[in-house]
Amino acid sequence: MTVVVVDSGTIISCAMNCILWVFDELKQQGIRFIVPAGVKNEVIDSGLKSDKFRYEAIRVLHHFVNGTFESYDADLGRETSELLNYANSSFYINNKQLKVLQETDVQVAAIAKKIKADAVLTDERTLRLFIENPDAISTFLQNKFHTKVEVNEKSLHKFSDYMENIPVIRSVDLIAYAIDNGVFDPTIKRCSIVKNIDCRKEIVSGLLYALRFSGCSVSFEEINDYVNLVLRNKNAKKKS
Amino acid sequence: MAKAGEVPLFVKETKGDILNVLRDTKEALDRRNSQELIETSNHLVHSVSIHNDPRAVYVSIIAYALGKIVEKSEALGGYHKELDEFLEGNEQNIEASIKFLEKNEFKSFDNAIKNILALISEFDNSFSKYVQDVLQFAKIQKGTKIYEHGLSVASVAKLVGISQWELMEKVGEMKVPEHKGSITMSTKERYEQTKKVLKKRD
Repeated sequence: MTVVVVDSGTIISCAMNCILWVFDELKQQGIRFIVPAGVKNEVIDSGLKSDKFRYEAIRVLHHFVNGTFESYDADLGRETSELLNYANSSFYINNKQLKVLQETDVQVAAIAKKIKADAVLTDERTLRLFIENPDAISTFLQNKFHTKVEVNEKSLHKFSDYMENIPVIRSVDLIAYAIDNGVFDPTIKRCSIVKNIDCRKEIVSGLLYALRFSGCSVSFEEINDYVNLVLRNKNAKKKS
Repeated sequence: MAKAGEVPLFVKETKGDILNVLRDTKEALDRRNSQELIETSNHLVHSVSIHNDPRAVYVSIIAYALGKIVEKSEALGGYHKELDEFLEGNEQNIEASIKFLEKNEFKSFDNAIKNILALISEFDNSFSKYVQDVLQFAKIQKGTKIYEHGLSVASVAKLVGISQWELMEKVGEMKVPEHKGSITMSTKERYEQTKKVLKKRD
């Protein structure tokens, strides 16, 4: 069983594009999706308060009810505080701490570490960089603030050290994987019959762009690479 | 967004920035210059990102919302008594808030700011055929600007008082993911990593 801890952004971007059902399919393939209770409440409660996103919030709730998303309710206050402290004491401008992450962001990381998850599923750029390449955040901040950003290297690297290279997956990576593994094949088959287009290509490209425009941290260049990669894999499978 | 009354301390580092923006806002409002108002609202983004000061957030949102209202009035053309009275009332309130802040009367300042936000909200409701939820729109716009400065979506949503749903939608239109530093491995490497993780079956 693969265990993945999921953050709010990924759930939101997939809900906005009506592709939460992909999680159901991947669960059938043996992947467990764990969601921190704080994230669950935040996504559902804030969605329910909004006229525009109320129905999406219900759809998210449905995926907890059907067991695709499993809520993680245990208290990880100490671990969360520790990680939050590392993140928010990493950067200073004029001796003032830059609070770049907040509690629910690091809950995902804390739970992943605690339960020895196989990956963190997040569309959040800053959290991903803290895990994968914390030095890149310094450069980014320096460019944005046009002023000296002091870095507490010790705190900065403690976060990624704590996470011990746990892989980070974004919604676009998950969806590319799902397409590559046949989750969208019935749709592709049906659409190919009625319209003379390369449905696989249109679906890969359409979904990845849709996720990007829903807030997933992925560049257009990466999307183009993904389209080519998934199509190449399909052709390779055909030949073999 | 926390209510003004819930903010325990004034962040002294932001006082100067807030005062400058309020003075610029008053002048731009006096000239009914929408672009100046919108531009002025951006001057607090750094301050908000660094100090997480809700008062700086409020002032930035006010400048932006007023800018959008003036912009709408420009588009409508002609003279609108209700609109003009609303803008004049806000000029007076901004002037009062500047005086309170100069004298370090923070409670009165908070009340003046709350009053301006309420006026915008009420006006928005009564004038809604022209102005679509301008305060909410201003929060989202300011939120995306702050997000550009490295704060997470969840942090920004909490700071400006909107939901992550609303912010995510807007964040997707930005160029942040194109920043070279955001790409930490090639697409091929990332996909290999994804496959390795998701295909793992014990």
